[in-house]
Amino acid sequence: MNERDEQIIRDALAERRRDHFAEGFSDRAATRWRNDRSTDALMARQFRRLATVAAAAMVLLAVYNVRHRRGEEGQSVAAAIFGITPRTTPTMTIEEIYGLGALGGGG
Amino acid sequence: MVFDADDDRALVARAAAGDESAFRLIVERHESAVARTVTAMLGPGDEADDVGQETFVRLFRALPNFRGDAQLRTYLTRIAVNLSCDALERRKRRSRWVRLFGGDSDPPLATHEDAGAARIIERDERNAAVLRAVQSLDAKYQAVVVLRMLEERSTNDVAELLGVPPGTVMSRLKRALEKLAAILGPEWKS
Repeated sequence: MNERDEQIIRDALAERRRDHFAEGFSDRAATRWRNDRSTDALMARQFRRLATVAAAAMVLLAVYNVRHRRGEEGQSVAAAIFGITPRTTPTMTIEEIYGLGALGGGG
Repeated sequence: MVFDADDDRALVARAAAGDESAFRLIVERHESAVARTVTAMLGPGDEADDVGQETFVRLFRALPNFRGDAQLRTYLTRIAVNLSCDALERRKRRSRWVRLFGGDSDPPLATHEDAGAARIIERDERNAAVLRAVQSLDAKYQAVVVLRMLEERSTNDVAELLGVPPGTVMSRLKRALEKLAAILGPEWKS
């Protein structure tokens, strides 16, 4: 690309450049600034920030849970994502439940 | 026009405390600099106006990062360039969708109402082709083309504005000009 070509690019860009925005710009900017400073806007921004952090933390936790999934205990991937641990039911006999073993010792 | 940096600092402090008249003064002082950068990158129109307004609003959100020793104008230009780059990316994404659904992919370009003479038409067509070529570049290349070629800022100045090393500015400019030459090859010859 030579000097002339570069000048053509400059001219084309210069033609669309403006020294000012449309009339009333400072009014529009001031209105936007006022709205931006309102409590609602501040809270919405804080919430967005917090929500982003919370979403990222949830994803990290889900990834951690899936990586440490207890597959041998029957935990599915979906359960791991939500951190639901498999319930292991203790094996007991009827005697143990009613305490019959203790009663029968004396007789 | 040169403004006193101390005045700017005082105005920023007043505006940060909620003084709207100080905010308006800052806008009036620096509108021209912001408008020149934003319209050079986006062209005139509602989108540029929107980016211009957001530039001034962001200044106050970013005040904790504003070093008092930096020129307010430089700081505003940096915000304006970043927001313009974001707008260019959005525009590109939109045009990709439009193309996908068979619409007109070329962004509207300014035209002369009194373009009667063949010379003006020819120049307009050439400028339109150049602008389309520039707009087809990635935002990071467009920013360098506008700041280096149109605003004639130094490499170091552009590097500071874009937050990249000077070497990156030079390589981006070289790459941008190569791409433009490739796109406009037939246009230059005609």
